[in-house]
Amino acid sequence: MIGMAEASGGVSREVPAAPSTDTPDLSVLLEASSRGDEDAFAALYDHSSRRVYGLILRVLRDPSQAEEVTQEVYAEVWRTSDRFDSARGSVLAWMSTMAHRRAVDRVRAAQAQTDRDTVYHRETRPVEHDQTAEAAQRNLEADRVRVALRELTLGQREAIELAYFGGYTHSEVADRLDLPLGTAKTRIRDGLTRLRNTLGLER
Amino acid sequence: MNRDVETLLGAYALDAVDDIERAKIELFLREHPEKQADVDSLKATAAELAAVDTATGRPLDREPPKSLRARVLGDAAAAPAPRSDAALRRARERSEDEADRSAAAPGTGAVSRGPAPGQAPPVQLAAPRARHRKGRGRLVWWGAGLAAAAAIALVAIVWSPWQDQPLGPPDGTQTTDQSGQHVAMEVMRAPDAKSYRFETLPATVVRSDSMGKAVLSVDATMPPAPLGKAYQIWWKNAQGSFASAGMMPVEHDGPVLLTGDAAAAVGVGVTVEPATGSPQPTTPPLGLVTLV
Repeated sequence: MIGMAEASGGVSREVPAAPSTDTPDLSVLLEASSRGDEDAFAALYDHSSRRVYGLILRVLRDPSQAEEVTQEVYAEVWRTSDRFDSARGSVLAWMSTMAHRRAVDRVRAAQAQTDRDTVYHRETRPVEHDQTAEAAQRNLEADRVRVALRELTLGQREAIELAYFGGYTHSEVADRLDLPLGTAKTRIRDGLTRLRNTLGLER
Repeated sequence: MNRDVETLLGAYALDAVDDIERAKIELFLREHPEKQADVDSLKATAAELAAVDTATGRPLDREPPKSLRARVLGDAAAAPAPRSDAALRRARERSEDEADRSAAAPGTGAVSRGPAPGQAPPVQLAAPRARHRKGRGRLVWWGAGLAAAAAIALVAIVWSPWQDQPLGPPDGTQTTDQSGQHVAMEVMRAPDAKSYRFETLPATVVRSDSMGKAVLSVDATMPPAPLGKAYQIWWKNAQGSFASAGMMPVEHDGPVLLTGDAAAAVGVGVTVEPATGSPQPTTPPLGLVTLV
């Protein structure tokens, strides 16, 4: 898990340590899935679908489309389960990357990009009153990222949020924030690099 | 130019680039494999953002509808897993089929000048990824006869981070050689390149009028063609008829240089055809874009 990556030099003291109790090793489940173990795939789904669906829903802001795209992502995970390379990141990161790309493709294909934010915040709720160990871990992870985000300048953070959650290209981000072309690109790059260093994810 | 591309790596990790920028970056990464780790770590950082709703500071995770689970598992039950016995058997059969076909005759409309069928033996193509990576930037290591196959492998790696895998068996109708890839990249980089996104397919046509050429750039999310079939690409001309623009390679991550006169075409379509290709479309197009 990326969340388990050790924080290294220059990390803010505020960043809470990554939780030590991990859910089942997703890479083991993925490996079994690639050999056709449907139970392992079901377990993989159970331990990752909140993240995958949550991310897709955040980008698409439409529950029925998010459901469709989530289904596509899991079909892709199943189909390409032999291609995961643990040297390049965690299973959850691998799946999130796939989910994000598909969500962004969908959002860009959609004509109307307006007001989805409002619908999202009105119609969806976080997983409520979830007292499981996984929920605790999720909260810790969210805290960790939230604290790391505070290290960014407002401009960097704004650009990254629009790009990642809004599905906008850096040129569109510049346009929306009324920045000279190129500035959004630089802010995204600098902000993401700082975030990476704070989270201890440098390679 | 390079500094420009390097600045873009952050946006690339967030999927915040357009198709042409993506092509530039992936070309850059192919030329600078030492930057791949940097990109991987930026992508891993982006994935961390999925943990938190930055607007509210709360976890972003959401419980998907209960009914989704059954559909996801149903999909899995209906398709062979890549390392399942059934999949391995099918791959073996396909490899034998294609070897037979390559031995017989090349099919219609190769995407670009490819190496002679069977020139790159399957055993090399099936080499573990570690070997592809090792070979990156050192094509000599592969030997001249394998250069074309290696070029495809390299493209697969940079175009589909985390999804690169050994390529399927070679097929005379579905290979793209290094110069084809090179021209495809030139088209994508042409100052007058215009891109046209399919509405119904995760793919984009990029055409340069000054070069008189066009490429089809397919996302990693494009599902594979049904077993024994292939995607064929078509020009649509002003009279509304279709002419083959080539076959989509089996490993279709990356730009495919279309054959034929791009300047005269008014549209590009994609259909599913027999693996050897058809002289005319035999199925309704999965996607059609109008070029203007």
